[in-house]
Amino acid sequence: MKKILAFLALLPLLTFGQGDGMNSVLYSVGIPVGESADFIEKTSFRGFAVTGDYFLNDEWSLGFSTGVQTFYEELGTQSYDLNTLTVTGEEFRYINMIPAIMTGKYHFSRYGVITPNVGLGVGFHWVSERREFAGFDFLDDAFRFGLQPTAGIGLEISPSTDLLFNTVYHHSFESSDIRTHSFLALQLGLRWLP
Amino acid sequence: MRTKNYLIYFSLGILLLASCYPKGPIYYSDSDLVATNFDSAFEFEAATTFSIPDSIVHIVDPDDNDPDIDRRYDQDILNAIEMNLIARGYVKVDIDTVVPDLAVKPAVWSTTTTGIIYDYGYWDWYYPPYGGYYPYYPWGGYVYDYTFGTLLIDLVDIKGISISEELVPIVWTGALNGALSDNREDVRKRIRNGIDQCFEQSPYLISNPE
Repeated sequence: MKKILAFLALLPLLTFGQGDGMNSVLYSVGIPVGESADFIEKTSFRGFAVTGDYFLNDEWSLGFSTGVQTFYEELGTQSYDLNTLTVTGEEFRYINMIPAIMTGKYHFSRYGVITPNVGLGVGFHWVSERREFAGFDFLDDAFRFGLQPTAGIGLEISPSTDLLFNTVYHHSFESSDIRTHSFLALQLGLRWLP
Repeated sequence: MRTKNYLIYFSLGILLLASCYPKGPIYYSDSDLVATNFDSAFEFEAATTFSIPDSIVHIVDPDDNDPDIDRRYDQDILNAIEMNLIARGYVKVDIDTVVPDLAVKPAVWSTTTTGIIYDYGYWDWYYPPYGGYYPYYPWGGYVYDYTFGTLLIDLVDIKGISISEELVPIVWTGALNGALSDNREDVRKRIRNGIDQCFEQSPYLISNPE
């Protein structure tokens, strides 16, 4: 898993390390929504994103985005009933999402001091949903098709570097292995010319 | 060069900030499971008396000279069961002189799990949470083991026993399962809390004869 993540993290830099591109590394805060929020309510402060964008022209770019977001919640003592059976124990829940997304972005003002953009990503999410209950593990994980609409704004802090704020909605679709998972990511980081 | 340096430091800082491992279960008590089941056809309210033995069945390997469980908690277990039944209105009787409605049958045993972790980094979610780390081995792994103890409490409907049908009706079962630790006071407290929880989650288990 470490090797896969390292490869994914470096992929944007390898792909767009040369030519007319920009790379970014962002710290990511994830707010679970929908069925993800049914499973874990707590906001995740464990996440990062790495992106690379290659400019087709001054307005449009294609890129790749990856990273990881880890959600975690301690539910404390929980009891569950199944007919006449009742079980009680401490419960811990985890969601890990690793996107591998191709993105297309429209840049409103590429060379300004403030550079807003909007985009849409399509690709895959590796999603892991894990529940630990009284020492027992219940794990579901799968690669799922995912969509990732995004809006960002850059603020120039040097001729080659921007402070970047992104809002990204991650959505992975349901399968027989795992439920739909989605979260809103608020990301802050740096974007620079390679 | 300075720009590249701060970008590298910034990126590493982001990765460090994002890679804090979720705490997960860290206490032995996080492994505790309390389970109860009952016969919905049995009228617990109509029962009034119970008997309890003065010892607990230990299910151990007869060849094991050093079992993981010993008898130091037996009296605590018996006391906790008795107190809970009395608190629910049942009257303790001596089974040698009076046939009770319910007979308590407690038993304990243990199981040990051993495994190896080859990768102990952030991305491996399978830390063994309960005890038993051995030193790191140079080929990249840890050997671990932990022992779970189980207490099973059965309530037998004495008047429903049928010798001809070889039937011993168990009308209620409470089970505790958890990782054993060397902290005796902690184990004692967990056992007591677990037994209390067995009764707490069995509100039907109350004597209320009309």
